[in-house]
Formats: sequence, structure tokens, C-alpha cells
Amino acid sequence: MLILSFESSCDETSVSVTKDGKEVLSNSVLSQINIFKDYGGVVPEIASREHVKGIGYVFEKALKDADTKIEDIDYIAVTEGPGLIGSLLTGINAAKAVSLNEEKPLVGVNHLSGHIYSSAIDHTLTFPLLALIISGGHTELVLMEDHYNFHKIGMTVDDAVGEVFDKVARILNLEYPGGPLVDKVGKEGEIIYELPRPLIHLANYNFSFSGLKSAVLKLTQDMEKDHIAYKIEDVARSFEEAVADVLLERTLRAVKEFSVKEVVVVGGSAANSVIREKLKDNIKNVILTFPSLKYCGDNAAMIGISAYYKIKRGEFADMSLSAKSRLDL
Amino acid sequence: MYKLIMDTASDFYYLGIVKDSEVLKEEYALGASNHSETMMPSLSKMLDSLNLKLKDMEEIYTGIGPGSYTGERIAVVIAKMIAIMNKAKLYSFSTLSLIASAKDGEVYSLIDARRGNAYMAHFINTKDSIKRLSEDEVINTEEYFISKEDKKSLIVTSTKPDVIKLLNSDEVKIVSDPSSLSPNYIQLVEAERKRRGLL
Ligand SMILES: [Zn+2]
Repeated sequence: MLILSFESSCDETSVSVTKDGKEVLSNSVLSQINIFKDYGGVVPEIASREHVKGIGYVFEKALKDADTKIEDIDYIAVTEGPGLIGSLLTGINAAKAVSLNEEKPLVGVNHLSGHIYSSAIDHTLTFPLLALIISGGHTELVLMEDHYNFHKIGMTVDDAVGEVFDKVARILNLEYPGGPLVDKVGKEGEIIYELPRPLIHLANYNFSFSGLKSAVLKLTQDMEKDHIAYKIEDVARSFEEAVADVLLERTLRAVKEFSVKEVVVVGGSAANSVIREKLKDNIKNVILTFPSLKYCGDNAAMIGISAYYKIKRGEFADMSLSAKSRLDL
Repeated sequence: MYKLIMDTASDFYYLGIVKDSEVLKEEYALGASNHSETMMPSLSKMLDSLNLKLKDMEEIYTGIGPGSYTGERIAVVIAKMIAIMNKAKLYSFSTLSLIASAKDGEVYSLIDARRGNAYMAHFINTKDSIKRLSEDEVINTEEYFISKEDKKSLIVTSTKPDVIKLLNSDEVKIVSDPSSLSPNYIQLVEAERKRRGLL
């Protein structure tokens, strides 16, 4: 079964061809990140305009890279939400046009389910499974008893992990997007600063990161006021350690309470090396899966993989499919 | 020769299927919150009722605005995808010229641009075609017509267009690389204007 999938929920225009919910034949991604460096973040109207500019080229490249003709595609999948409405609409309208033109069924896919299923690329998931989704827009713990059975057990009450990386990067005068740069400079630093682990002692599965961001700001401001020299490398490394500690504590406790057999860590922030190492070193006796780095950020391949399991359930969309800025799993 | 004509840049969407120079079916209707949810189901039904397929459309015509940013992207994306898949010829036209085609004689075609502003172009039409007298631009409606009170009766905003008149005019332009087609926004995004020091 060949699925052609579209993803355009934020600032990546992506089209992919996947096979049988497992194999990626192509994953064409056009990123707008260089444009938004000048703005320090995503500007929704600019993102929408860029999606329109790129969609045709990305679509043709995806088919070419997969060495596939459009006639050979069995299903068309597209991210329907959550995300930026103007951005989502380009993927949705392109997918509708292909579905109507080729007379192939259309599937609307939840972006978060896509991130979870990025871990099923070339890999068989084992249930019960715990998914830790960490990205610029989301920080959630999701329990799954089986395919497409999603129970959200925890989420951030304020900033998402990727968001707090961007904010800390700004405090340290690093460019947007902050995640990769904090990771890079943190590798040269040491854990020498005490930073809070917000909510870590509460017995639920929610996250909070805005207090940690404020603590980093106060730490650097105090040192500057007192003319104490510091290395941003050490601040970055100490900050990453605090984030990783919180993620680990939540995850470990959920693994025990729900007797999960596999943990998948997905989303853009799953590319962070400190988070990866911390979880790898401490989560034992269950399968721990990280998607390969190229599938951590937003991409259409993960949408095609998720769509496969939705198709198996017989859940399809029609030409009235709409974009949803908010959409629960 | 079947032609598919679409426009989604104003509050009304236009959808039409033309054979040679005869309108087989058309719709000019208020869309829901965004035209994608209403126009695509309509297109599907329209094709079914004519016993035609999207692949039968040899020429695709799309409005490119100016108008609602979210709206104008819809027809542009759908049109370019169809053109790419079917290697059909793609043509673009200004949404203001589509709107102007509704009336004969001198016409000011207007689309609301909020805060008292409008996208506007000036036309002089014959029975069979339309002819442009001014480029698409953003104007303040009150200020623009203050010295032309008598011209206000020539304003057209949402009367059903005469698409054959549009197709007969110089207003339809061939798009040589369908992937490259973007709407005509006229205005830069506010953040971009700020960054370039224009605000
Ligand atoms: Zn994402």
C-alpha cells in the first residue's frame, strides 16, 4: 500500500511517499528556517506564503525521489491539525486536489499522532507504549494500549520544551532556532549551576518550564550585575540537564505505573543530545526508541506512517476536510 | 476543450466549467469560514453532474487575488496542483477583473481590504469583453471617491461575474511554470515591512 502524504502545519513544507506504514520511499522537506532567523520566530502569514511557493516543487520531488508515478499511489494523507491555519490549508488543499484528481481516498491525520508514528519508521512498536512528544509546540506524555489508542496522561502547563530552548537561546544571545545551538554550545560546558526542576515533586505527569526559563534569566542577569564572568556553555549545559531531569522523572514514573513495554521519544527536541543520553542511560528494561534525526522535526513521512493505521481503521475524510488550529489526539 | 475556472479571493467563490465558450455549469456563492470546505465538495458534485473528471479539464484558470490572503491561496494551490498532475495549461487572472466582468460599460471593481480600504481596479467593458484602465491597487474607499461622487454608482463588489467576458479579454495570462504561481498579495506582510524599515 502506497501513501502520498502532505505536512504543512508550521514552517516546513513536506511531501512523502511511504509504503505499508513502515518504509519511507521519499521524504521531501522544504524548511523555512533560514527565513525566520531574521525574525526570531515563525511569522504565520510569511509561513503561509512560503508553503504556496514551495508545494508544487516539493510534491514533484517526492514522487521523483520515490521513483513513483502518481497513478501508483493508493491513498492521500494530510495533516489536518493542530497547527497554523494558513499553513495547514496549503497541505490540505493540495491533498484534496490530488485526491479528487486521482480518485483516491483522503485521510486527515493529527500532527501529534504523526510525531508518535515517526518512531514506527522501519520499526515495530510494542504495546503498551508510552510516547514522550517534545517539540516547539508540544510537550506531552501519551499512553497507548494499541495502535491509534491514545490516552494523554500529561502535558505542559506553560511553555513547550522546544519553546523554552528558543527562549533560553535568546537569553544567551544565540540565534533562532535555539534547540540545535543550545545543544552545540552545551557540549562545551559543564553542569555548574543549580537550576530548578519545576513540578518534579508533584505526583502527576504535567510539565512546567516557564519557571526554569525565568531562573536562567535571573541567573545570567545577577551574574552580569555583579560583574561575574560566566560561560554561556555552562549555563546552556546546566539548563539542558534540568530539562532532561524533569523529562526523565516523568517518563520513568509513567513506565512503572502503566507497566509499559516501550518508550518512544519524538518531536524536534528529541534531537537534543543531552535529553537522548539522559533517557538512554536511565530507562532500562523497556524498549527505548528515538526516530532517526531526520524524522524528529516536522516531516510528511511520519504523517504517511500514521495514516496507514488510520486507513486500517477505515477512517477517511472527504472534500470538506477543514484545517484545525487545535485538535486533540 | 473543457476549462475549469476558480476564484476564492473574495467573500464569494467562483467555480465554473466551460466548454469552448459555453458555460456548462457555474457557481458564485458565499463560502463558509474558508472556501476550501465549500468549494471542493461543490467541484466534486459539479464534475459528477456533468459526468466529467478533473482530468478532462485541459485548461485551468485561477484568480490570484488581490483579496483575502487565506482565501486567494486556496484556488491558487488547487489550480497549480491540477495543472502539475495533468500537465494542463494554467492561466491566472486578477480577482478584480473577474468581479468587473459582471457589468458592461465603466466599472470600478472593489474587494474589501478592511479598515476602510479596498483593493480596486478600473475597467471599461463592452458586451463581449473587459478592458483594464488601471492596475490593481489598495485605496481608501472614501478618499478615493470623494472627488468622484458620481462614479460611486459604477462600483461592483459581488454581482455574479460573466466569465466568458473575462476569458475573451487580455486579463487571462498563461503561467509557464505552474509550480511558481503565487497569489498577488499587493502588500508585504507587516513583519516584513518592519524588518525592511518601511514601517
Ligand atoms: Zn511538530
